[in-house]
Amino acid sequence: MPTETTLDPAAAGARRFVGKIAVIAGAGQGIGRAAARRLGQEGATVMAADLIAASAERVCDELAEAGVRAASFTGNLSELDNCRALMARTRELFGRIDVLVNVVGGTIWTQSFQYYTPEQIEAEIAKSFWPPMWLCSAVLPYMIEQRAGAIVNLATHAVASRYRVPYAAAKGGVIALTSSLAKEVAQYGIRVNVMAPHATQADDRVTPRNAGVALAASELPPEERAERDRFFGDGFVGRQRGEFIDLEIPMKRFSRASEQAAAIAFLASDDASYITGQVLPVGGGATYPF
Amino acid sequence: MADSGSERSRPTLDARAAGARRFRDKVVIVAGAGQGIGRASARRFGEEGATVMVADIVEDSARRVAAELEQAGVRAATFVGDLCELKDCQALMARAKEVFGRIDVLAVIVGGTIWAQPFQYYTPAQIEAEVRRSFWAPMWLCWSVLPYMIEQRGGAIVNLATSAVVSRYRVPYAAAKGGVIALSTSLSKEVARYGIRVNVVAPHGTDSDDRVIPRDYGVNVAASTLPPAEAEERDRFFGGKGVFGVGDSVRQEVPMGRKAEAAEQAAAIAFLASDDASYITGQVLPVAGGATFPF
Repeated sequence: MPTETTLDPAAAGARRFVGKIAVIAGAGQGIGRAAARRLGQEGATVMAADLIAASAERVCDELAEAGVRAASFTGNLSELDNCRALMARTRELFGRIDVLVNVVGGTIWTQSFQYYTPEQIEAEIAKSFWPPMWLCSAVLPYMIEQRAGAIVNLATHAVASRYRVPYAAAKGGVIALTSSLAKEVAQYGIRVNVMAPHATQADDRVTPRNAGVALAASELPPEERAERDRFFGDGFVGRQRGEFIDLEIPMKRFSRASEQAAAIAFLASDDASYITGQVLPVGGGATYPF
Repeated sequence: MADSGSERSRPTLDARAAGARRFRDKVVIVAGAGQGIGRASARRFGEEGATVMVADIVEDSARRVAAELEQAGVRAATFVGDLCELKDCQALMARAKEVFGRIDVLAVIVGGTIWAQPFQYYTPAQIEAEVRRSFWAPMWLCWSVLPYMIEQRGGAIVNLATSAVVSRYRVPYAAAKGGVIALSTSLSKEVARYGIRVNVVAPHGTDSDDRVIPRDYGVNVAASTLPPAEAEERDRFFGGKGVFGVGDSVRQEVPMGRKAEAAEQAAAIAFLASDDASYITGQVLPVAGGATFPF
């Protein structure tokens, strides 16, 4: 059992996931890794799934080293077959699936909509819309059979921002997937919620945003590029302050991945036993429109 | 978890906390702590290590809850007053500061509909009583606590709204709570710079088996007489004459098909008040069994 500070001190001693099996889809870095650490800290058995084998194994090793029961799964979770294999493997190893956290996704490019090529748009939808759809579909038979389960999907504050229209549209779809699915499966004791992060520091990023995407970036006119770069600063890293922080975030800072993980853990835990179909914005006070 | 051994032996106030101690060294004011969601919140905060100021309009209720906490080894004090009145709210904050030295969390539970009936049967005096209870208490409590939290450069406020904003028979209460939502969202933007967070939990129907005072406690306004057919329809909606059972309201509005336990509301209140929500402000968290929430 991990000590109070091994994986995530924010848990403050809580052990809400003792005896629970949690699948984290996209656990290799960033919010996914933070969620795996938080749930592990609180006693969960964790299936760390990622597109990149080295990332999944690294997180799995971190957890195991802290005394958490963990396994890794590698596969492209934009594909239904892989999502089904993930659930079957989890069931085979651990006997059940109590929690599914869908962190897979994230914008590949940032540019005004007219500069997206049709292929880029399809790639964004493949990465951010289809994984939660297929993962929810693949886990449902297990959770219905168990008559219990909690699913947490991820949305984004980009739905009310700029330069990421295809990604924003994908995540709008994920919200509707969640809120409508929640009403159908409440009768089986299954809860489905959404956590909507704003900009989050992912200092541990090892996989580039375009991993596995064999598409060229668009050539932007210099003016468009300069404006976009002013908006974001130096990408999402936050060393060079982007305009969007002051425009959109009253707290005027990035979030830490562990702050997103705390909200995911809340929604996945019995603390949220009367909460389903809801969107929880973790956005430093930014106005959220859904 | 060095101290968990000794803690395991004390009476458990809320097992749902699962060992969490997020409020160690924090001073928490629960306004309306005498019963129901307020009492459950006081127990959850206490379970997680908080020092709790138990404020209520009814002295016996405040004392009962404080005694429960103290028996479990939690540092607690009581404050008795009418928190719809600004001067009582100011006295509460001054007293908490005097006794405990600071105010880290304010949970505003005071409020709740007094009557349930179609809008046209509310008298003007009833409407004023509803707004006084459910709108003014959070307004004055937030205003009174702000100087302390601004001086500390830190704090967390949790207000309560309600799923009644999209339901029936409680228009004045719903309107008051709509106001509380806007109070919270706009205030959160102003005070983010001071490290103060302001959020809202929006409960649906919640069991309060421990209710000791009637909804119209301290309200010197007569109830309306409803035509029998109207009263019958209302009672079907709420599932019995007592507000509220499991009636059409729960069946029609709540996919989970049951009411909440007070501890489920307290869990969400504790989450928003804790550092687990350190990047969350100005938000409404519906705790409503899946009911659609419009804000």
